[in-house]
Amino acid sequence: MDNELTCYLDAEKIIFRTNENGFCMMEYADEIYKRVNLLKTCPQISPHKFICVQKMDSTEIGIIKDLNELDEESKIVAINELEKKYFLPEITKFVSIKIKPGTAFMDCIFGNVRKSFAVRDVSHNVFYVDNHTARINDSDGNRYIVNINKLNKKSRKMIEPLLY
Amino acid sequence: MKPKKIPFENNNDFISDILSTEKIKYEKIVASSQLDMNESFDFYDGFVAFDSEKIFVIKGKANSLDKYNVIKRKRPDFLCEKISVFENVTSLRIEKNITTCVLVAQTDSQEKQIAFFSFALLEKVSVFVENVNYFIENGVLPEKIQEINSKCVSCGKEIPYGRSYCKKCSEKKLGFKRIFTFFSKHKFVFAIIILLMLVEAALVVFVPQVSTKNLYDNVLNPGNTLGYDQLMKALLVTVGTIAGIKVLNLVIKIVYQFTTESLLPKIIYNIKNEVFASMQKLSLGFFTSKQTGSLMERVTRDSNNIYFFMVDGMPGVITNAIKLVGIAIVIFTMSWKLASMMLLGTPIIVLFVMLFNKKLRTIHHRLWLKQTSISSVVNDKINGHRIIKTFAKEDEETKDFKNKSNDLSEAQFYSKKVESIVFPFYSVALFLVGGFILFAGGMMVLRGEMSVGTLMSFIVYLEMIKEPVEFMTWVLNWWERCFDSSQRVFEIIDSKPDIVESENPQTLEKINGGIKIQNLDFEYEIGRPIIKNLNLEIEAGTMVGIVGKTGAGKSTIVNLIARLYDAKRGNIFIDGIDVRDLSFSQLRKNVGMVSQDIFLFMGTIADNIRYSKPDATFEEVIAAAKAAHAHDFIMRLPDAYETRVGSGGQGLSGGERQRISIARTIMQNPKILILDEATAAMDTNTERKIQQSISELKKGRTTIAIAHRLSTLKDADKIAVISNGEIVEYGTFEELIKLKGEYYNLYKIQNDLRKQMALGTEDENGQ
Repeated sequence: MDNELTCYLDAEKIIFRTNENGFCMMEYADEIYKRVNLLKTCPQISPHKFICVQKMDSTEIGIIKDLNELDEESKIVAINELEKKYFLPEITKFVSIKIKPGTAFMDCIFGNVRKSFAVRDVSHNVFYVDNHTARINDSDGNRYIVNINKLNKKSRKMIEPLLY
Repeated sequence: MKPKKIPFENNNDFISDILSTEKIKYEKIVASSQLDMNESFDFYDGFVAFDSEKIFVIKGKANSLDKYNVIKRKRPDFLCEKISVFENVTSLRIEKNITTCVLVAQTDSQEKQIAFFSFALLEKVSVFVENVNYFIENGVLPEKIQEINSKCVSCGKEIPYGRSYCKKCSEKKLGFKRIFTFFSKHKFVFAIIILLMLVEAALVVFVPQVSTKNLYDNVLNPGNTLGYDQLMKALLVTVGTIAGIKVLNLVIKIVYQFTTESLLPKIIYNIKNEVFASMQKLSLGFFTSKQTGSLMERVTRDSNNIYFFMVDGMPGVITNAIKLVGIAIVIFTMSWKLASMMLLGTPIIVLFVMLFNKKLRTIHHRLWLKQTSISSVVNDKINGHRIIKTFAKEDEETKDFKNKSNDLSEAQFYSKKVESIVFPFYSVALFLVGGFILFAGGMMVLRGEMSVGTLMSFIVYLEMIKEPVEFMTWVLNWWERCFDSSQRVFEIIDSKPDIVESENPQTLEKINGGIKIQNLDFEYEIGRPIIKNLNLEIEAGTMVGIVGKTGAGKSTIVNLIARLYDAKRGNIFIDGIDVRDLSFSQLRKNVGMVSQDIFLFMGTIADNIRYSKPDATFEEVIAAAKAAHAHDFIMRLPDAYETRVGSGGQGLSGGERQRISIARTIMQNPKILILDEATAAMDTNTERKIQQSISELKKGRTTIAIAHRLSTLKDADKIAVISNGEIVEYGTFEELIKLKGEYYNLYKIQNDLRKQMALGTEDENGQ
C-alpha cells in the first residue's frame, strides 16, 4: 500500500504545549502552529494511537502513530486535549428508566450530579460499544457513556433490557 | 446571595438581578442564554449574558446532588458561585467537541474559552452568539430576535428549562390497555368469546360437585339407605348429568374455537397494517438509521408475538382466572379450614413468579436481539452476495454466520435452561401442597368433620387447580415476550414523522418550477451542519448543475427541495410558496428524482414504469419507455414488458435498470427534475444512451443535475459549486472557467485525465 499520501509525524520532533488561553499549540520541525486540532482515528479501540493533527482550517499536518512516543509533557498536553474534545459524561447510576411509547425517560446520576433526559428510538440510541461499555444518545444530541461493569446491580437491571 | 428560582424563559431580568446583588456595574442585559456545564464538563447551572459592552459568565452551583431534592424531585434554586466578566470582545463563536461545546470569545489580540455547555443548549447559545455578534457589528439587536423554547421530544409542547420532555408524556403508561387497542375494533366478538369462556369455566368448576361429591356421598356411600333401583336411578342421573355437562362443554368449545379462529386473521392484518402504515409515514432518516432485519422483525415476528398472546394467551388467562376464583369459592363453601390450608402455598408461588418476572424479560430481550442480528446478517449477506463472491469471502461469511447462529442457539439454550428450572418448581410445590391436603383432609374424615366425598372433591379440585396455576406462571413468560414485542411495535407506531404536511396545505393551480433557496441551514446530527446559509435561485424551465466534492452537501440540497428532510433554518420556495406549505401530493407529483441508487420494485417492467401513475394506459407506458430509450432493450427480452424485475426477477444491467427508472420519472411528468448522479455508475456508451433519455426528460422542466463528471453538465444554464455546505462559485460554464477557481481546477483535472486516457488508448492501438 502507498504510504506516501499519509504524513506520519516524527514523535521526537513534536512539542505540544497549552497556551495562556487553554488552546493546544504545536512545534514541529522548526515550525510553530499557534493552535492545532487533535483527532482520534479510532476513538474507542485505540484512543491514543494514530492521532491526526490538523490546522484550525482542517488541513491535516500529519498523523502521530502513538502518543506514548512523545515526551512526557507533550503527551500530557495531547491526552488532556483529546480528553476534552472526546469527553463523554459517564452515567454512574440509573435512578429510574421509564419506557414509554417511542421514548425512554432516564433519570441518572453522573458522579455527584443528577440529570434526566429522554432517549428516542431506543433500539438505535442505546447500544453496546464493546463488551462492557454502552453508549446512550439523548434527544438533544448529547452522548453519554456507561460502564456496565461499574454499575450497581439495580442500575444494570434497568439498562440491560434496553441495550442493543 | 440568596438562592433564586431558575427562570424558565427570558433570563435577562433574572441575570440583571444577580449582577445588581453582586454590585457589578452593567448596562441593561440585551442577550443571554443558559449554560449547563463548567470548565471540567461537569453538569452545573449557569448563564452567559451580554450588556452591550461586556460578556458575563455566571457560574452556579445548583445542579449538585447534595442540593437536589431527591425525594420531592424538585429542581433547586439557583445559587450564584462566581461571575467572570469579559471585555473588549469583538466576536463570539462556538467550538464543538464530540458531545460538549465551548463558547470562545475573540478580542483584538487573542481568543479565549469563556463558557462550556452540552448539546442540549446548543441551539439557545447559538442564538445568543448570533445576537451578540450582530449587536457588536450594528449596535442594535436584530429586528427579529429568535427565541428558542424547549419542546418536549415526545409531544412537542413547550417545557421548562432542564428537561427534554414533559411530565405528562413521561407518565403515559404502556400496558395491557394500550396493547388491547389492537382488538378494540372487534369488541363485540371479543365479548362473545369472553362469555363463552365464562360459561365453560363455570361448567368445569361444577363437574366435581356432581361427579365426585354427589357420586361418593349420595350414590356410593355405604351407609346409604336407598334401594337398589333408586340407587341405580341416582347413578344414571349422575352419569347422565356428567355426560350432559361434557357435551355442553364440547359444544361451547367448538363455538369458542370457531369464533376465535375467525377473529385471528383480522387482528394480525390490523397489527401488521398499522405497523407498516406507520413506517411509511416516517421520514427518510428513520429508515437510514435502522437495519432492514430489525424493521422486518417488527412487522412480522413482533406483530405475531402480540397476536398470539392476545388470541391464545389472554383468553387462557381469563378462563383460568375464572376457574381459580370458581374453585376457591366452591372449596371454601365445602370446608374453609381445608381450603385455607390449600391456599397457604399460593403466596410462595406468587413471590417466586415475581422474582423471575424481570429475569425472563431480560432473557427474552437478549433472545430477540440475537434473532434480529441473524435476520440482519442474512439480509446483508444476500444483498451483498456479489461482493462476497468477488472477494472470495464465502468461507469467512459462513463462519461469521455460524458464530451468530451459535450465539442465538446459546441464548435459546440459556432461555430454555432458565425456563426448565423455573417451571418444574410449580409442579413440585403443587405436589407438596397435595400431599399436605391429603394428610389434613384424611385426619378430618377420620374425626368425622368431613365426608369422604368432600375430601375426594378437594383432591379433584387440587388436580384442577394445577393446570390454571401452571398456566398462570407460564403465561407470565408469554406476557413478557408480548410486552417486549409491543414496546418495539409501539416505538414505530408512536414515532412522529419529522416531515409533516402543513395543517392548511396550499395547492397551486399550476406549478412552473421556479425555485428559490433562502438562508438554508441543515444538519443530520445536532451540531454537525451540512448546509450553511445557502442561497440559490433557479428560474423555471432552466437547468442548474451542482458540482462539488463528495460530502459537500449536493444530495442534501436536492433532498431538501423534494422535502425528504426539512431545513433547520431558512426556506425553500417553489413558485414563491414555501415547500413546507405545499400539499404533499402536489409536491411529490411535481418533483421527480432519478438517482444513482436505482430501485425497481417486484413486478413487471410495465408495473414499474406506471408506478407513479397506476392508471396509465399501455400506450403511455410504451411512450415513456421509448422516451427513455428503454423500449428497444425491453423488446429484446422474451417477456418484454411483462418481464418480472426487482427482487428475484430478471437480471438487468445497471444501464437498463436506470432507463426503466427514467421511464418511471417520465411517466410521473414532474415540473422539477432532479438528476442525482444518474449516470455515475455507467460506462461511456451506456452514459451516452442515458443522456439521450435524460435530454428527452428535461424538456419543459426545471432541472437540477448533480454530477461528478462535468461533461454531463455541458447543457446547464448555470452551475453552482458547493464546498462544505456553501456555494463557493456560481455562474455559466464560461464565467466559471474565466474565474479560474474551484470549477476551473476540477474541469482541468478531468480534461487532462481524459486526454491521458485517450493517449493511452492510442498507444495500445498502435501496438
